[in-house]
Amino acid sequence: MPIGAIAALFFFTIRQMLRDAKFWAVAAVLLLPCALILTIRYFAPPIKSVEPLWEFYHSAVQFMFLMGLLPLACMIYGTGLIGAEAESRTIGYLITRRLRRRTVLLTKFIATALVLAMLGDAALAALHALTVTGHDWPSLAAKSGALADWNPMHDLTVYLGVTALGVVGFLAVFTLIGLLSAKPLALSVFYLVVFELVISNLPVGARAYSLIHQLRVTAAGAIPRLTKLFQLPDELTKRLYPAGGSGVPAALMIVGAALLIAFVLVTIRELTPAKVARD
Amino acid sequence: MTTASADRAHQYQRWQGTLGKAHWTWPAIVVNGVTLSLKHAKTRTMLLTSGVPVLTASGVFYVISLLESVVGTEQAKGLYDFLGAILRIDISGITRLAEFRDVLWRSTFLMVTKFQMFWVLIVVARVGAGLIANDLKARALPIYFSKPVTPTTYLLGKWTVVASFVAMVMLIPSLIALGLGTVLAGGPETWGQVLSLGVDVSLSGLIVCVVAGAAVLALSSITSDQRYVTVGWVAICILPILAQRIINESLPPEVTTGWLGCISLRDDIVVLTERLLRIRQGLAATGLPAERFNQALGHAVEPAKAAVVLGAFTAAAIFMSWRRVVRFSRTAATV
Amino acid sequence: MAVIELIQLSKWYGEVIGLNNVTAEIGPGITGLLGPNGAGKSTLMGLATGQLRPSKGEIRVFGESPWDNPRVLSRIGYCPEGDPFWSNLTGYQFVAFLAKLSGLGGAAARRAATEAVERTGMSPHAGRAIRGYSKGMRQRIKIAQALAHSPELLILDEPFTGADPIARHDLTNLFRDLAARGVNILVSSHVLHEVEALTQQILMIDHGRIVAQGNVQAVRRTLLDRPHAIRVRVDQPRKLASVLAGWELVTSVSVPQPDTVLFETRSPEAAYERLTSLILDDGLIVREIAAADENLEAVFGYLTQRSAK
Repeated sequence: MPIGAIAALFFFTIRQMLRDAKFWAVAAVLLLPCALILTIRYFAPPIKSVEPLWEFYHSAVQFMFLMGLLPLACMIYGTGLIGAEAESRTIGYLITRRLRRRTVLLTKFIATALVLAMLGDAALAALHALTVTGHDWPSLAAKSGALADWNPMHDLTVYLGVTALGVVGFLAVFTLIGLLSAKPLALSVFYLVVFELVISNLPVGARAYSLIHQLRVTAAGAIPRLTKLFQLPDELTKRLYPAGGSGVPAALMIVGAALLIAFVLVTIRELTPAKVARD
Repeated sequence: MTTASADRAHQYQRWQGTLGKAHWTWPAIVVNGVTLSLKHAKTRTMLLTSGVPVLTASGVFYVISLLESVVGTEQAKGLYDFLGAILRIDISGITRLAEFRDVLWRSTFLMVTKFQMFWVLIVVARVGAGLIANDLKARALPIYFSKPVTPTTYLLGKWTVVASFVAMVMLIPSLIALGLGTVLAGGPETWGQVLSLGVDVSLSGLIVCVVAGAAVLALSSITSDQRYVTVGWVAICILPILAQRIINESLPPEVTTGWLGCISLRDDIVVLTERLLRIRQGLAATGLPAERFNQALGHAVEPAKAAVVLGAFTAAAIFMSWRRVVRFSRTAATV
Repeated sequence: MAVIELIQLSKWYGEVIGLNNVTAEIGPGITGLLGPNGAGKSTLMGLATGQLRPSKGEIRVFGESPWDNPRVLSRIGYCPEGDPFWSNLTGYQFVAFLAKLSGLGGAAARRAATEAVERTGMSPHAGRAIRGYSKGMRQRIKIAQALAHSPELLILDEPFTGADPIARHDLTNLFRDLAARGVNILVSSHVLHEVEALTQQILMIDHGRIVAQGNVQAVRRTLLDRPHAIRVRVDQPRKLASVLAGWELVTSVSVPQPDTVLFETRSPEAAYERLTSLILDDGLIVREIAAADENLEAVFGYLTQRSAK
């Protein structure tokens, strides 16, 4: 196992990511909820209970961050993981050396997932800090009823893990799409809209194939009262989001399946611009 | 041997006529851009499909004219409900429909504009994303600027390509719908009533052309990768809408009718369209309670502020793309 | 033993044929791969480096298929055509990274990169970003990355493109030096006289087929349908021309320059023999007798014309 070559490619991928203008654009997009909370806190009248904070925090994470911004960031990187190298014709340097094609793919995948997960978690932590700091918690809690015992740090810890899982999941799916199609962008948008935005919100079994649903199940299993955010009938809520449930095994199965197919494709396909990423 | 015969002997043809002025080279860029885009069947299908919702507006005009003839009868209720669902405003209080035909048609066009913004997003992403990005990738800018093409004519030509497609999606179908509706809905007296509507609809379409064209060209000039332009364009269109929704729900109305209500470009365009079409004034003149249509039309953001935000955004976008193109016209830099 | 074996190898892209049922062995030493644009040279190189899969047939490099085969690929150094770079890297970083990817450890990779950069004359520029390089510098840094890990086989796609005459001379010497040390080289080029300066072993491709393989002169002699052209520089060209015109084995005679006679014959050996006798008998002062079309350019031209028919 050429460890040195793998390490070289790993650190090279991280280096190229950090030096690309695209990275800072993605970081700005992930920090959009932070800009929103700052704006709202500046212009809004003083809050009287924990409830609006709780709602904003979880709405921003669930409906903006996990459903929109994170998949977008993973789409930008995942569809071009191999495609961008193929288009600039530098893929030839990577696959004509000591590393097998699937090793090249896996190394770049892990490096990219690590950076994106750290970026996502940093953005999430910033959002958490901007939402919860600077409030008089004892007096707010006294007027907050059922949310009086809200522990934001616990929710942040859960979401940090969910975000990392989401990055790995979305990146795997978009990497597969990037190898599957010469026009990965259109297919990615179709997948995002149909599977993740539409099917994940339908009361049908097909939800299980949606990563967003599995991330919600994971979060709802660990965060009390989160399911009230989804405004579903009680029976449906119990069925879709069982108490203590976890979407981690299902999400990891989706990741495994996507990566396995991606390995096969990268091994058997010619990685020319005409065949990979022509958008 | 004369110069002329020497030229012919070397198969070289020297142009004998007069050459046009440099500032008329932009139509060539427009024609090239439009014909290249129209070669794709998917683009043509998209354009045809996008016109259908607009043309159904003429069907709505026909329903309004039907309602005019049956107002006060049992049949009117069903038509009122239908129109209320389309316009999202309960208009059952309006009985003098012929007198307020103009405001009802304007409200219809406002709904059409909101719906067509979706098609503008798709079509501009398809035809506009690669306009400058592909030239950067192919390193074609030195070829352009070795001809009598200036950065201004280059950008004007590229913008006109985008504007042409936005016009095909919004403006032209709207004017056709207006004409069809006038033919279907009534006699010659309707022409006078709705003549100004054609002008206002055209102005609204022009606003969309200017803003959408400037935005997509600015993005296209930043990178040679069309994918990122497309993603950036979609992000610029959708993310501010999401942010605006959250702000509207989280902050009181006195804040969201000010500058903070102008974050979303799409909503700003709708506000300006609403102002151009004079919807609120028209509906107020019908005697309908204000809360009925204010709820449907949303926060009454000051149009002047929306115009300033759109203008500033457009100016910044034009400046960004102009600077990038000027830079590439002077150097052989690669992106 | 052949380094690269092509066994009934075909490659097509949809309806376009890149290579058409090609069988050949590319042996040790330097082999020049020649052909007009679109002949299939880059396709062959893509197949040999495992970037393209054969549509039919086989290709073996060092006895194995190169597709996704690190054992074979680590013995190859590939210099692609065009401008594929991570242009934010410096030349040194580029070569060092690829040396590490080839399996060299950190210190060894740095040493190898320094040596490779020096050998290609890029030491003064190696600390600058590649995006600021001229075309010739980019070409040399590409060759440096191909050499860094000391491969047994170098596959060079148009290595002389963009190189100035001094760089070409230096690269030619470098390749000759490597070949003398046992490195096998497959080099493609349009610059025929550069390939001729490098090697006499050629493989000519046109329209996806091999039209000639082997030593340049030997290939020429097999072109029986083409009369051989012989050039004679002499003090009395018109006298010589009038005598040659009467020979039955001469098919055409011309005096292209005031001191040169050019004639064509289908029997070059017999023509040389009679010419020698004629010069001695008539006392002509001859400055040069040479085959006018045994160079690569002439052979290339003949073969591609023949292939087009």
